[in-house]
Order: sequence, then structure tokens, then C-alpha cells
Amino acid sequence: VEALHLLGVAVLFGGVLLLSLSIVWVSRRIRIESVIRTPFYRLLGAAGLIAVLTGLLLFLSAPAKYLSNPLFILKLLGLLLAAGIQIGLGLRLRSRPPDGQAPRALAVACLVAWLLVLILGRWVGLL
Amino acid sequence: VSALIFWLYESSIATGIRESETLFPALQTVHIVSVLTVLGSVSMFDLRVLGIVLVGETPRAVSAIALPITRLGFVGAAVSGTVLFAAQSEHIYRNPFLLCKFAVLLLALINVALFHLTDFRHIDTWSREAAVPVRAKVFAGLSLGFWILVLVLGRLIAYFNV
Repeated sequence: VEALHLLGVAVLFGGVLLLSLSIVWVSRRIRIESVIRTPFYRLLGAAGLIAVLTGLLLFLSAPAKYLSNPLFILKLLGLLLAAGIQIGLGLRLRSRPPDGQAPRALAVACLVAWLLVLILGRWVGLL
Repeated sequence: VSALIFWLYESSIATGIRESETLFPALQTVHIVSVLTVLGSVSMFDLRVLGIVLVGETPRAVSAIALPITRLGFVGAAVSGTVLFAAQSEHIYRNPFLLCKFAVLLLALINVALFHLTDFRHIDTWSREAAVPVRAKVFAGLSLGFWILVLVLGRLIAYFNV
């Protein structure tokens, strides 16, 4: 069962990374406007879903342990932040073409937030 | 091999990392983030070649962004991985998951080399609508499989205790 969880987490991390990468792409010269409402978005959505579900399973395996782990709480907050920025960026891209500094700044913030989640995720297991 | 591993394990850098409370996990973090960078960027390109995502962009355009990210991630993963291995070498050099991971990693790299020596040279001719050669898709599919396997095996290393 544990190995299955791990497989899920692997996909989870992969998915999270794809998300942040896509944002870097949007902020780079080569704009991928074909990203929105395409299989790309659906793929990221699916990866995110797998990530959340397997994460939930892992959490349920030892809820008390995780809840008393400050890094876990911090990671959840980071996750909320990253997801929030991600959605904000998505909405912004949907309504207007990615011009100017605002989307770029959002994309960088988004990437940093996801990286933070990854790093915290690793350290959760160490406490 | 044992003598070499022993020497590596007892070397000052390896011992220093092993006995440090922050350095070892910090390196693990670098390793994981790097590995995810590799898998994330590789999978985007492979999935484009397979025609699954980003079909509005040419494979050339996707590789132009993905490849530098992959290279960066790979260097980070290789360096941190080497140091982590040195620090734990005596414990893990016979770890079956580690050996499997190295084998699959080798396959993945051979796959990359073959792809770049063959079909990748003609990537400019794969325009948006034109179908990508079947052989290139086979390379992409194998790549995806190998790299995912490397990731899973890498994670499993920690679950085998000698």
C-alpha cells in the first residue's frame, strides 16, 4: 500500500512541476496561448487531482502526526498560496493576452510558491 | 568495488555530509527538486512529440523551452545525487532499487542519445500539422516510461534496508 502511495506522490510531484513549468513558458517569449482550454490544462488538472488524492491518503494514514507537524501546516499554507496564484494567473491569461509586467511577476511568484511547496514537502518527512 | 566504496564512504566530504544534520536533507531537497525538474520538462516534450499536449506548438518550440530546463535539472540531480551516494555509499551500493535505478537511468540516457542522433535532427521539419515520425514517437514513449521508472525506483531506494 505504501508503494502505491509513493507512486501517487511521484505523479503528484511531476504534476506540480508541470504546472510551474507551464507558467515559466507563459512568461517567456514563446507564449503558449494554446495552453488554455486544451488537453494540456486537463493533464495538469488530472495530475493535480492525483496529487491531492494520494496526499489525502497519506495524511489519513497518520492524521495526528501530520497535524502536529508545523512544517506540514506550513506546506498546506504554501499549497494554498501557490494554487491561489496559479488560479489568479489562469484567470488573468484567460481575459487578456499576457502583455506587460503583471503576468510575468505572477508567473515568477507562482513558480517560487510551488518550489516552496516541494521543498517543504521534503522536510515534512524529516520532523 | 568494496575497497573503493569504503574509501568513498570514509572520505572527508562524504563523512561530513553524513554527519551533518542539515546538509544531508538539504542535498536531498536539491536532488528531488532537480529530478522533478527533469521529469516535468521531459514529459512535456515527450507528450508533445506524442501529440497529446501543446499540439498548437511545434515540437521545436516546445524543445526550445523544455531542453534548457531539462539540462539544468539534470546537472543538479547528477551532482547532488553523486554526493548523496558518496555519503551513503557503504549502506546503499548493494541496494537492489539503486542498481535497478542506475540500469534504467542508463537506458534512458541511451534513449536520449539515440533520439538526438537520429530523429531529433529533423525536428525543424515537424511542422504543426504534419505528423511526427512514428519512430520519434516510440523514442518519446520509451523516454517517458524510463524516466518515470527512474523516479519510482529512486523513491523506493529509501525503503530497502540492508
